[in-house]
Amino acid sequence: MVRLAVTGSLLAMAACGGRDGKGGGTVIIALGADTKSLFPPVATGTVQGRAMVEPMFDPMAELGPSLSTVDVASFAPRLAQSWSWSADSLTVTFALDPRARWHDGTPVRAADVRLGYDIARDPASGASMAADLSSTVDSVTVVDSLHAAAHFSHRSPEQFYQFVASFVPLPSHLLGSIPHDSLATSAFSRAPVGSGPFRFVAWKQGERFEMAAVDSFYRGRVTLDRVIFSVNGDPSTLAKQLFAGEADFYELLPASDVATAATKKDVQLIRTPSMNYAFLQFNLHDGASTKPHPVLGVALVRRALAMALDRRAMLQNVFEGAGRLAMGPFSSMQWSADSTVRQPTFDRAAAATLLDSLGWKIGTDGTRAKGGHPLAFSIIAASSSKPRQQYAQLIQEQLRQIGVKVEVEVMDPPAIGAKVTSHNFDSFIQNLTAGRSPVGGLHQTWYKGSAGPGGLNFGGYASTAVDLHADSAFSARNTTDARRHYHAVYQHIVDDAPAIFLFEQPTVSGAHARLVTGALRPGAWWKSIEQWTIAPGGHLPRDAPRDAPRDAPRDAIPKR
Amino acid sequence: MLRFLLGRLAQAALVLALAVSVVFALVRAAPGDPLSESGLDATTSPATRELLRRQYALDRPLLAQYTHFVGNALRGELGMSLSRGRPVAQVLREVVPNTALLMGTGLCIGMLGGIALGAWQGSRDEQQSAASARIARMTERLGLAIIATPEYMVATAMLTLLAATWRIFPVGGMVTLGVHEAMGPAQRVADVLWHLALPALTLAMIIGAGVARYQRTEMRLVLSRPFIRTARAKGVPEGRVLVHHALRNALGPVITLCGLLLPSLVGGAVFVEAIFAWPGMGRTMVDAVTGRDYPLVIGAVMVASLLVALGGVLADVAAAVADPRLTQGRR
Repeated sequence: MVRLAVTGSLLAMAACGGRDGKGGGTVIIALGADTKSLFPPVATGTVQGRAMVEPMFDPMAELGPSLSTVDVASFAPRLAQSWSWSADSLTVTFALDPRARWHDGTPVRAADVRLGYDIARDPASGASMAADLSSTVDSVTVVDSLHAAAHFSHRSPEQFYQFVASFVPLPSHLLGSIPHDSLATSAFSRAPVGSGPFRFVAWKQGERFEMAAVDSFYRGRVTLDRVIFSVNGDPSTLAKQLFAGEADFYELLPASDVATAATKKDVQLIRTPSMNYAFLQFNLHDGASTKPHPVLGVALVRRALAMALDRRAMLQNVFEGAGRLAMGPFSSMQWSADSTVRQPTFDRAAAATLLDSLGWKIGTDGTRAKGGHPLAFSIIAASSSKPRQQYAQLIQEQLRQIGVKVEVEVMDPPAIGAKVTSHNFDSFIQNLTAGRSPVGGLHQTWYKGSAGPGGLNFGGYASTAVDLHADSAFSARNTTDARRHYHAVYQHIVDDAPAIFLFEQPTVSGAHARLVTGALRPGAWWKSIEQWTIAPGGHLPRDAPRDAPRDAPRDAIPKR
Repeated sequence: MLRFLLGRLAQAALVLALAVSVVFALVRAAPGDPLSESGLDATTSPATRELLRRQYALDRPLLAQYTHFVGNALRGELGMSLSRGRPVAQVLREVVPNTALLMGTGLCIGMLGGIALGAWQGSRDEQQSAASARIARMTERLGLAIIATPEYMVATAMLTLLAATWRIFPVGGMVTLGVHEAMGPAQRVADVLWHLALPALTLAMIIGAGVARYQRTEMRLVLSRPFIRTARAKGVPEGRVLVHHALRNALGPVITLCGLLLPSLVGGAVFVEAIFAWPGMGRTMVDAVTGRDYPLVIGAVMVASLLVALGGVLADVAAAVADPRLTQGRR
């Protein structure tokens, strides 16, 4: 009855189809988790935070359609309408778009660029990208109110991307007087004033977040009127909300719901290549000690293990043709991705022979041993990931066939975090989300020093050759040279086998048939939200145009 | 009576202190902490992570963390939530009323429905009507099936059938997103009630099934007593015998059960809230445990323990009112 009453009172308005009778509408996005803050430097540390915050804050420039992080000419202007390089390529001067405004009407100025940069590189602000910026950019200076200059510490193919992707300008008239260590808990972090195509409307943490189109947006108003994020932790309930039409978009359909979604005529499946790649990472040391691991500390043993695994069969088994084979320590969506990296050949007999030659002989119980030590190790898989658990079991079975005993341990992510950061493990299946740039991933996972605090090199891999080539790749003057060095880095890592690279899992999103999203950007589906529209005839009562909700905080509604 | 009440309140305070201390130790004994998790998945730099560790006092020894926590708790400060970036008390203030609404509705419907159903079932054997006795047996078996089924399965089945398949109720949440704010006050209340119906009904079924079994057994026991025979022999109408004589006397144990149900209700609400996306304390607690958000876990446990302890006190007081011999230390 209630539904009917509500529907009846709003249907007439909805039939108009948004503002001016064109487009409009309200899109409800189902998200599995909420962000802890809407303060951009903090929120951008998580996918859900980025999805909520990035449509409200324009960066200086955005990746172009090619998604290349090295082709500066392909970048699309945002708050910066143009930029120019100094002769030594160590300074870029950005000219701000004079039409750009904060959502409270104040113009965006060069001081805002400097403040955004200063906050983003200060760990006291809780910024997640502080390290990335500090290693690339020396300082940002204000040339005049509409021009800001970024001064780089060194040249690299990605220096422009690393600068524009690591921070957003922030309103100095609102934040300039707040100490950096208080920003993450300030009122701004719960009701931000941004510069992007959507403005903040309301946020009830753990329940819903709402933003609305900015009518006088300097790049032109977006088609949608409102976007509401429905935050709920249970994936199955989120999928049911989509199937029932209560949500328009669910970014990550669980594998168990994909088949059901395919049978629903109101639901469209959108498959997007992922920026993730998963691998079985070995601990090369005996626990936290510097002694080599009795089994996995020997490169030839690891190589034999890699040869004994039929990775294509596992991929087919787990993803039924939907996945992609991981070829090395990179995502196939990164510009440095290299399909020519030589892979370990699947040859179980050769793997067994190699282990025999290394002295690992099969005993009476079917397990290989050497000097009384069995060829055995454990694999940790996350309880939150069914594919990773399936992979652990398949690896266990395939290695059993050459006399290697594998024990599978399934744990929740925080427990895995505690194990691997204390180096108290043999191996675990890690799923890394790669950035657009290959630099961050290499730095964090395989490069020198990444075995220390904050690094993801939990297995303690170190290779002088990898470090040298990585240094050359990071500082190469052109992409051809950079690619050559990246290839060498990847080949060394695959040959040394500190990890066995397993799969790239595609993202399957579900969208209501009424929603027109176009292609989604891999790893950042929200980037195209500006172009989303409601299909003609697809409007619902919730699409009725209206102003900010009654319960929105008054100070959160931008003045016009 | 006052002495009795004070004694029970002192016990409740002790239970609360013990529960919170045990949970404080348990969450820290669990492997991992919120910052080690972010080390795995996020881009948080080591410097930022160390700063956060200091900020949340996670770098101090366990005993120092405990004394710091107790000192703050006594002043009414529950600390900052690590996963939500704001005071725990503020988070709980938002979610506890939602849980109270859900639990209160579920408890009322479940208790009243369970008592009515149990009393009816208990009186059916007595009246030896074949058809109604058969229906009573069927409802008994249905109740047994509900009791035997885990709460999350009952909730999932209800959601799948009544919301996702037949679309009688909404799938999740507390309001209709995108529409609720445009409604008038009466429509808003109706909208919340519409969203409340299915999760509350699920909780009520779980509670009612248990209560009905107690009530039925007690009803049968009372109906076999001599004073019932006497009442009937005196010509008291059957309806009056059942309601005024039998049911009133059979209510005592169910009143006690009311209080004892609160702990299980808190547990049941966790599943129901998670599955129906109800923004309450149960869901908050699950998120907090998963994210190792120590301050929020402990704050939520404090509230839950308080509810349980108060529920026990209320049940004891109600039982003492019904049977004054309990306050004198003899039955």
